[in-house]
Amino acid sequence: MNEKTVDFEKSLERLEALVEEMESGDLPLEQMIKHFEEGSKLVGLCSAKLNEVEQKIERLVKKGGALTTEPFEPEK
Amino acid sequence: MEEKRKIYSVTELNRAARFTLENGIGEVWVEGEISRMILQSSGHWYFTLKDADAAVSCAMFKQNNATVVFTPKDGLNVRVLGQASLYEPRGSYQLIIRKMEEAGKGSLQEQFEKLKAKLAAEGLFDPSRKKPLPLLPQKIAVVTSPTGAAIRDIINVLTRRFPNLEILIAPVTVQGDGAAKSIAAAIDYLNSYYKNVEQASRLLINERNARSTLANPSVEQASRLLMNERDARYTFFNPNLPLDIHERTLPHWKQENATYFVTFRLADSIPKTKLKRWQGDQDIWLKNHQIPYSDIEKSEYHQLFSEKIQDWLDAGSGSCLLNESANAQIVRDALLHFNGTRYQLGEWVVMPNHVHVLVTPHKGHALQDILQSWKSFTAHEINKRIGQTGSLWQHESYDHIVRSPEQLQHFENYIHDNPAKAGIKVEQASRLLINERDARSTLSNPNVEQASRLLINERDARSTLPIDLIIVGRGGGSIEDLWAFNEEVVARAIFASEIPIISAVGHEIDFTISDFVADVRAPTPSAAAELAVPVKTELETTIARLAARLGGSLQNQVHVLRERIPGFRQTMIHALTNNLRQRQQQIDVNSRTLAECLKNAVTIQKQRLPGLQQTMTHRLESAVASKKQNLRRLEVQLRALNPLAVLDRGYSLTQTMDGSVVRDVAQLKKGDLLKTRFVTGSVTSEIISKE
Repeated sequence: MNEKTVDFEKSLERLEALVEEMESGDLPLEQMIKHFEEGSKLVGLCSAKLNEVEQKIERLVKKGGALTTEPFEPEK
Repeated sequence: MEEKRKIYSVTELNRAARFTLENGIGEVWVEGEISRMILQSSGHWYFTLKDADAAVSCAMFKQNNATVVFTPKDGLNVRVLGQASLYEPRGSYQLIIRKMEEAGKGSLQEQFEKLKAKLAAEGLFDPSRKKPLPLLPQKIAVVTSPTGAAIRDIINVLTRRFPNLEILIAPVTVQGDGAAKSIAAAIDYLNSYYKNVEQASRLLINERNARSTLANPSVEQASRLLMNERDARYTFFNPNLPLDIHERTLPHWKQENATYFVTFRLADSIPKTKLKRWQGDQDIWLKNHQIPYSDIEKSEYHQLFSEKIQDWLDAGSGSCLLNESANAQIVRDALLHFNGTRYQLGEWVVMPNHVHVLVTPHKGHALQDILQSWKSFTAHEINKRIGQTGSLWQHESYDHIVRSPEQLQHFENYIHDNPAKAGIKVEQASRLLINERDARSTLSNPNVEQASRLLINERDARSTLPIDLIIVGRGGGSIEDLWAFNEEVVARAIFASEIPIISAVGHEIDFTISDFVADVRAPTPSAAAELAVPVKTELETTIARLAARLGGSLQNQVHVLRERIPGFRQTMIHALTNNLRQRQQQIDVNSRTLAECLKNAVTIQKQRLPGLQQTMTHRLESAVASKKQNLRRLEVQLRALNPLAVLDRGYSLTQTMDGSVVRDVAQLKKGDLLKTRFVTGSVTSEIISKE
């Protein structure tokens, strides 16, 4: 899956599953390391996803014959 | 007899009749057909209600008719709730109407129940058809009125819970005629939005291209939405609101919040003789026609005077000072200077000898003052620049109140096409317009400038985000106010939406058809926003907690393994030490055996041939030397195996690139990459040779 389109929800679920498996203590070290690596990557992705988009509030407007967006300020 | 007679004045009689009517009949429901409907500019309605044999005058005042969800017209059968009364000045009997419903349709409540039952039967409320809301939407579209408390509440809650989130507002009218259609069109459009953006971004070279291609894939939908947007963006002339007409040479119509098409021109743009004759004709016309003008009169006026003057302007008489780009620039700067603060500019163009502008003054700023400030500032600047004095502009300006979306479109097109019409080469003209558009989009106000720069930088990455949730709703109101959300067209649009929808109409107690069809119903707009996004800090905490557990469990495992290492170490030391001792013992035994052999040999030699003694001694010596050598080799080997030396270097874990631990050298070959893990980190190395 392309990293940009990773589903936040699925990432979080996978992370939970990894942690649970690792905490069960049944994993061989090799598998443990693999889980850790994958888990670390998911933590990074999830955090990035949370901060990815800067706040942007826009409204649809018509400009030059086409629909487009422009910044929106609600009336105070 | 005379004294006992009760003499009424007419006033008293009428009053008594009114009391009798009002108390005797009171408030009643009446069904009949509307005729002679008059929609007064005051906002009140007057009409006659009739059936086959009788008629009654009716009045429905503004505060009551605002709640009627359809447009009453002659011939329509209605059911009204009204108070029988009497208009005393005329002595005429009438009904004062409080409520009006379309007779065939039943009450709003009945319509509501009927539609609800119908849609339920079709499965539109089926729980299995409801889509789950995304855990973390990245882009939320809000279909509601761009003004009012609902949108403010939604934005407040969304940004408080999740500070970085894209919010796209689809402005719609939420009550009154056309509201339902505008809401449905917005939902349809938002569903096609991502497809459009995706397509646009494929063609995308820069932001401008993206904009112009944005709506192309669904021009039809876009144009359907257009009218609604326009309505939200512009206020059109409303015949029911106060109108201020003041006259100089021309009548100027003024109304608060309205948009005007304004033309002002250079003093020498039209030859004086022509202008004089034109004004003379106009005076006569104005004297012969009374306000309000009929449509035919308006169109006649327009043709005779407005269009004529535009044609003369475009003929390009006079100095055409604005052909000089420096002068045009002064005008352009003046127009843009207060854009966004004192007024909002629509389309505009600076022609060689005149200027057309669509402008909406902000509250508290009169159009005359705005025009005055443009004209005096630019006159001063241009005169200074070219070293002339005197009036630069024609004293009077031409302003025209924009009455309808169609008219706005007409003026926009006019402004847009004006350069071509005036015979300015198209290439030049389009450059002129494009330059002006650029200037407008970045200069109009500092926030917009910043924002648009930001937009350009981030558009590529962000605008392609799909909309993953729609909130449809409005704030509280009466059942009539909320009616648009009970209309079938809205219900069907919500049902057809591929994007999950939260419906949030009115207060907790208000239930609308939209609420039943939507994937989730929120009791209020604020609650919709709360349902829409998780609290960001909570998510961050969850992730941090998971990250800690992730690291923790690996550390635990490593810790457990590390605990076992000293044990292994001890065992190995023991094993090695034992081994060493055994060998030493063996050597001792061997030595003893050797000594015995020696003794025997000596004895034998002594007994046999003393001459052989020397040879024997020699052999013995060489045998001893060989053993010593053997012993030394063993010692070297042992030293190499010294566990302390190994342990001092620390443990390391060697893996192949697929992660498996190397246990057997046979699985390796020259050139393979190896990953070696130390306590402090890892390195990747390549096998150079293999013994």
